[in-house]
Amino acid sequence: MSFFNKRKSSGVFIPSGKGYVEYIGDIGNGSIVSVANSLGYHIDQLHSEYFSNYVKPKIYSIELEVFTRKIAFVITDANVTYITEKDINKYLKNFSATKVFNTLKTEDILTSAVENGSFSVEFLSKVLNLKDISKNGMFYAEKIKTYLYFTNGILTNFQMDDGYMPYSRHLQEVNQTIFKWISELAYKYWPKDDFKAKREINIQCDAWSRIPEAFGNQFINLHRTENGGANLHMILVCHYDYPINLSQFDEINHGRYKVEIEDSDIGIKIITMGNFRYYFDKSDEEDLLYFDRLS
Amino acid sequence: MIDDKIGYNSAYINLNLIDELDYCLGGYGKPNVEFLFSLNTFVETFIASSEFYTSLDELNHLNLTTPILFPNGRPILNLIARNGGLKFVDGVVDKPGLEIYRGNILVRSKKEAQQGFVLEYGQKIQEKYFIKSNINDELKTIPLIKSKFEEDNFIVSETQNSLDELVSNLMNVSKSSSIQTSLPIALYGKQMSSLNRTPYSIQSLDMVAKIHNAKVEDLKNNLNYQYLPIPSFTNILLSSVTSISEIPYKLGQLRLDFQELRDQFVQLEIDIYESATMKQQMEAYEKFIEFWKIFNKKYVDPKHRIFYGDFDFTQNADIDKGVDSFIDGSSIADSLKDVNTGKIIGNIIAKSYSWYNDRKVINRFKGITNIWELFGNSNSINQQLKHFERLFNVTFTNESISKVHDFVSKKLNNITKEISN
Repeated sequence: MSFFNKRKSSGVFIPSGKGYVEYIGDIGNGSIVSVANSLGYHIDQLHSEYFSNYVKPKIYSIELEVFTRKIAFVITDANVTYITEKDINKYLKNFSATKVFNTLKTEDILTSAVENGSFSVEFLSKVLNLKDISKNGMFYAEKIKTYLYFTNGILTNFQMDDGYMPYSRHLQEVNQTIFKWISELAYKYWPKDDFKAKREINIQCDAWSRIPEAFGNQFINLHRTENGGANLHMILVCHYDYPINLSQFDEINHGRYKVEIEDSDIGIKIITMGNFRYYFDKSDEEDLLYFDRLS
Repeated sequence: MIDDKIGYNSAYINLNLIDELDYCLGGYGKPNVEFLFSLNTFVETFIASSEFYTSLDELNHLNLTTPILFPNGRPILNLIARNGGLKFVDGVVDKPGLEIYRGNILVRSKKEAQQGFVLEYGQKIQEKYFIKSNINDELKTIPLIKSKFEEDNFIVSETQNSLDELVSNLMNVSKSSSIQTSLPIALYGKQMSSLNRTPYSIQSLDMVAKIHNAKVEDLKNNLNYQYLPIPSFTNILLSSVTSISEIPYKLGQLRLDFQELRDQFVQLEIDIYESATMKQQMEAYEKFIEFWKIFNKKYVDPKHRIFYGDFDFTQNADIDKGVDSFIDGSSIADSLKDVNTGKIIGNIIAKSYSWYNDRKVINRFKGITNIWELFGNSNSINQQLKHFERLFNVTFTNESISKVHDFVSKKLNNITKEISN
């Protein structure tokens, strides 16, 4: 047989039984969006794993239903006429649904879905294993630890709300040591107040996402905490000009500072903590006016 | 297939009540004396009910107001969502609103448009839409906001709903289900008067009794208020926590502990629905009551839930029209001519007769928190006051407690006289 007569495929394969078969239905213009639509998916419902790092890859991309390892379809080179489970396993050997669908990615997926009205209650109940839900209501999805709101069968809002903001959840996922340092202190100094403890954790985790080089920051040793961690938000205040007032200061340093002078003649409250002395305006706003290093 | 049918042993929880609970239990502010009632009604509902509902418009309101009112999270709303979810029914609030905000979405996402409203209306949301129960400031209407995307605009409108409308719509929506209601104290009196308005003529009861070979007295006994013993949930809850932030978690645990209670309520409704005759429905209820008394014996100082019993003749079946003919001496077949058979099961009289004779008069029960017992039992209220002082660091004067007691007595015309023990 001549090389030029070799059979070409549609380049789209779908799961069938224990293997994969070529999809020979209408694929429109052949784009992933077009294939997704013809197979009954909105593009928001899929996550693409691309393999451009392969030299001459047999598989260009594997399209998975979001939050799962369930394959919706596979895009291959047109010269590929069959693929096997073994091929898929080889290409997905480094894929981890837990790592890919992390907090920040989950937020992105849900934000697009709400914007485009693209997640039906049926779809989400399938990929998130939701039971006993209805077309209108608010439900908790344990798998992604998120509260979902449905109106007329469509996802209309969501809240990743266990008291942690996205960066807190993200830090918890990617660096448990630092998260533990932060939360240990928060709960030590807010022992009976879960809400205030989480507020402190959220502020410190947000600071972690903002300070240059995170825990490798040059000022880290000036702000070490008693458990070996660091007061990240105070690095922003002392070295990156972040404003703070007294009540905000107390939110993250409660029980860890000493009031040196409560009511000076010049209307200033002086507080010491760690290596620094802080001067707060005693007026209504109680803003931090300046600070200096203790000798 | 996912449908929105109201499930067995369900409860309607008003959003203002959830707001109030999140405010006090979420660490946003201190409770007032009216919160005693709010907490008790919610705890009873949360533990004893299998599913939770609020209205569809309240969902929309919740989406728009939560970022401002509860920036650090909503422990009680989340607790409900984690325990079966908060479902929404249409029809409780159902009227056009007055436009209060219009934002362009040409260059913004839907989320940004919503945030634009929240930023512009932040202070007003705080002032206008967080309603803390206060018997000294009697509410006439409850405002709700809802939004929609129309062409290139994000539009927010406000509806003002009278308390009467809210409650009567709620009663209408829940007509064909047994449902517990958890409402703020301001709506409680309205609920009582709405229940009392349920029109069952003696003739209609007589007709049902004849068709079902039951005694009118037995039917009457299944109507109106009845006591049902339940454990003293709020005292159990408050005595087992050392801080308010433990309350949501402990409440979730308590709900798990009382699974059998909910299973029995569900079974009662199934038994009633599946009973072939009216007599069997009443027997199912009596059997349930017997079980219930034994189940509750192990609890020291049980409290009582109030059940308002009524019959579900199915909506708009106009049974009393049929009754009039029946009383006039017509045959059953003739009397059923006047019944709106199209709304029953078909338009053949014989079929309608079969329908009545079959089972479709359902015993329904509306569960209501027993506020009289709470404020009338000095031992119980004193225990709760001590817990409030310990956990919330608040004390209430005897005068303020008496005021609530008086408010309840005046509004509700001493319901205890009407309750059959």
